[in-house]
Order: sequence, then C-alpha cells, then structure tokens
Amino acid sequence: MTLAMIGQAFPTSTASGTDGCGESARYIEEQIDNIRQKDLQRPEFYFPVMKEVLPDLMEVKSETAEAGWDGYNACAIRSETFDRSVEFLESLPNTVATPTVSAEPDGHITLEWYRSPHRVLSVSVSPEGDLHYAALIGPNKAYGTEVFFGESPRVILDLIHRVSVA
Amino acid sequence: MNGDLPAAEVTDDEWLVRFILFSKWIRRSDNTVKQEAFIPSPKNLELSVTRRNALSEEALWQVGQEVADTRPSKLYGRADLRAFHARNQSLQVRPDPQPRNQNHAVITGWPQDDKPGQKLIALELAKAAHYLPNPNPTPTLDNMN
Repeated sequence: MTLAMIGQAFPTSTASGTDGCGESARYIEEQIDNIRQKDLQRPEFYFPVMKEVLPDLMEVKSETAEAGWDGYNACAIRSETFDRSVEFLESLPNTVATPTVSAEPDGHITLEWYRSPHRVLSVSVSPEGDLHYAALIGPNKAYGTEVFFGESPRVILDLIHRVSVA
Repeated sequence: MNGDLPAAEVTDDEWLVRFILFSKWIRRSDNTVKQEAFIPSPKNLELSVTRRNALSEEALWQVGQEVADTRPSKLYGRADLRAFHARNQSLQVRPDPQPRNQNHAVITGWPQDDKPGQKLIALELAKAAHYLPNPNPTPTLDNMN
C-alpha cells in the first residue's frame, strides 16, 4: 500500500484531531510496531557481527574437524571452542568492524581485525573461554589474556578500535 | 640429490619456506599471510619449515606438493622469510633433515605456556614474510580418479 493510498483511505484533518487524522496516525503506528516486532525476532538484529561472521565460522568448523587439518600436527577444533567463539562474537557491540575467522594448530579459533601488517589484532578463543590476544599498532605492541565472562573485555574492544581507525 | 644442502648450520640470510595448506591462513584482500601460519606445533613447540637456498623454484614447489600429498591437503602457496627474522625474535633455527625432505628445518625456542607471547612473535614473522601463491595448484589425492 502506498502513502497516497493511505492518504485516501485516511484523509488528513485539522490540528484539532478529527477521526481521519487519528486513524491515519494509528494505522501508521501499527505498521511501525509490526515491523519492529519482526525485527526483534531476527537474531541478526541483536548480533550483527555474528551475522556477518557466522558463515565463515561454520566453514572453519567444518575444515578443522579432524586432526592434521593444517597439513602438519594441528589439533581438531572442539565444539566447546566453537561455542565460546559464538558467545564472544555475540557479545561484540554492533559498532565494531567485522573480523575474519581462522584457526590455529593448537585448536583455538582466531578472529582477526586487520588494516595492514602493521595494524592488526588477533584474538584466539580457547575451549575454556580464554581470549589470548596480540596486536601490532604501528610501533606499539600489545598482548595478553582475558577471561571471557559473557561481556567483551574492555581491553580487546579498545584494541579493535585502535586497529580499525584510519 | 641435486640442489640439496647438507645439514649445515642455517645462516641468517638463508631463506626459509613455510608451506600453506589451509586457505584461511591467507588474506585474500592483499595476499599476505596471517600469524596462524607461524604458530608452532602444540606437540613439540616447533615450527616446521624448508630451507630454500639451493633448490630451484620447481623443486621447491615439488617439496611443498609432497608435503600436501601426505595429508592429503591442497598446497595454496608458501610464505618465505629469512632466518634472521626468526632469530630477531629470540628463536632458534636448526636443520632437521627428514627422509622425504632433506632440506627440512625447525624454528624452536618459543615461549612455553605463553600463548600471547607466541602470537606476538607469529605476528612479527607474518609481517616479515612474503607470500607466494602456488603457480600450479593440483587436485588432492582424495579427489583423483
């Protein structure tokens, strides 16, 4: 239904608020509410970073299911590691850039935020929920471990921002 | 065999090759290699490499393909860096000839029980490395026939 059709069905009225104006407003408000309700049911509405990364995460999970996936001695990625990665990605605010996904020979899933070889952050997710990170930001370096308790650690959010800015 | 180096000490200027057998270790955006490619094996904290010096390009790619064929995996490319880049990170580089690869070497001396420290070193090695895609990608053994 176009706005013109809506206007014909519910003609405008004076500021004193006749039935026509009230009905138009109510109709439009109902349509907005319907759209909002549909949005709230979509998981990507809550976890936009997850939505972007999930296909690659599933691909990594599939390709690392067996030991030796790297051609050398890599450990298979455990389901717990995948679950912790999903939880961490869901905790990220929708203001952060989308990372790329990979895996390490010790069975950790990695998330990388990258601008150049001199501006890069890599976060490894362990099956226990440890977030091991290392970053190069120009001449500066940062590295350490944060335990994930359900909220994105502030230090990692700060490093994502510092790597991502122009 | 022609081109094989004896198991002499690895010099600082010597080129070392890390064969890439996992596609997600490569950044398609700018054809660089990620730090994951330089994380040591969890079994013995050693990073397996091949010494490049005396091998022709063809022979070198053949070594990589043989590494891939034993898995079987696909050889996507290789990452080259000089030995001094590893030594600058306080790592050691020593020859480790193998029956299938006489030019095999290992990078050792990684910080133990220090995953962030390992990652930081791997970031530096990845930054120093030069990625070359496989010019002759071949099917893996499991999809032949």
